[in-house]
Amino acid sequence: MHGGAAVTAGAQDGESRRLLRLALAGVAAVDAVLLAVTAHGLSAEATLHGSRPLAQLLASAPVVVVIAGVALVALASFARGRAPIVTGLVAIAALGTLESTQASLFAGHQRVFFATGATLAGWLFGLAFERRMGRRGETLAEAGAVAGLAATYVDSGLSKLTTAGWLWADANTLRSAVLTNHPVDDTSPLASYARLVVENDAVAHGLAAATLVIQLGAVVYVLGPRLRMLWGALLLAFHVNVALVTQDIFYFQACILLLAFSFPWGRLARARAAPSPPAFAPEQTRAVALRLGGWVAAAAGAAWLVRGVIAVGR
Amino acid sequence: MDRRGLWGDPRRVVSALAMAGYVGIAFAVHNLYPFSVFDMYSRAQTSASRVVVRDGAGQMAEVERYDRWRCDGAIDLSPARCGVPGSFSYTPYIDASRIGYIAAHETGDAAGQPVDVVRRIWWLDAPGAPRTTDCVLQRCTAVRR
Repeated sequence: MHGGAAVTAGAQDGESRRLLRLALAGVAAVDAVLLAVTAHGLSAEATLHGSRPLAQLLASAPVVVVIAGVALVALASFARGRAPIVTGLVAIAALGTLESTQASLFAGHQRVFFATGATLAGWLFGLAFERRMGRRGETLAEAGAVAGLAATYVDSGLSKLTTAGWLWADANTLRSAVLTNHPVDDTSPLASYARLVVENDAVAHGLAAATLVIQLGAVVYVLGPRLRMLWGALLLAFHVNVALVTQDIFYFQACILLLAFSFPWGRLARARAAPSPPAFAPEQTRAVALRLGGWVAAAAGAAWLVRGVIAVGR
Repeated sequence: MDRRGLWGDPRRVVSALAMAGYVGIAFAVHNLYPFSVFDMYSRAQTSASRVVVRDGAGQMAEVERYDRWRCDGAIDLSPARCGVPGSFSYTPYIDASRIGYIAAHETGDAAGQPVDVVRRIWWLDAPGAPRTTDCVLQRCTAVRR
């Protein structure tokens, strides 16, 4: 299918991923600023969460500015395509430090920031794969980013199944989520919608079941441009509906990334036909996949080992 | 699938490895940026609760509708205050953000009207409109915005 000699030119399918790279870097930069500002604000409040000296230090003005600055400089380089793997990894490390600091001061993680990190990590994995194959394009970086973004939804669906089973799709769990988040004094038309969900079991059950289907079905997001558009639209609809019914939960970063990655904007603008799949040598793909797949498996195995050791220690 | 079909499109290979890797690592570490299992609302629930304000007329409002807070003491968010722990659902970071807002808008004067900071609990034990109970967490004064 795609055999033959290796192609060493730039984008293998003639598509530029520059806009995707810029969008990803832009959303990550917004995350860096938001995380820095909120972490510092929480540190200044320093009221309810007890003493956390390390988090307080990391959230202090000079330190948080340095960390956010490192993230922004790294993301600027990443956006321009300069040493993208190194600068991307530096950005992830800085964002992770900011996120952990904020979570420590905020009584928990705010998962709204993780979609960007997952997408960026997937991009870097795909880019590393591409470089291992001796190529300079970003075809596989896009594939990795799409998989990272989709994995966040699959994870969410799997968490529901492994924690509550199919019982999650009963009406009560969604009713509880709406009541927990929706303002009690809302008098807007959206209050009527929230009330409909809370007081009508069939509506709540239907939306809960749809949530599971859309999240678990996000696996198909990686299977091709048509399925990506379809599932991207479904995921966007899911986010918009959650925002409307709760008025408190809006994953705007994930929505921007879904908008950027789900639809062939560049091709639509140039009225071009869908690109042909890139030509890669199967033997080379297999060799790189075994090597990088081994690293991924080792990382996952190490994470599970550490988890097991910690569990035994308790 | 022949060998060429399996490895012929590296985009699918990358997608499969990236997705499997993310899921596998996330379920080991739970929440370590950029990995997360996104389990915020994964538990089956039969109740819900939210920290809100109840004014003298019994009207409920969000804490952000008020300013210049002054409370008789610290606001105890521990679930034991409102019943047997585990008997109702609550979301710590949302509760903490409510109290964080009050702490950030405290004042030394007592110019506000008396209000109760309450935990409203919705019991989802039957279809239709849920049954509610209100558990007083602290008595305060505050000025309606």
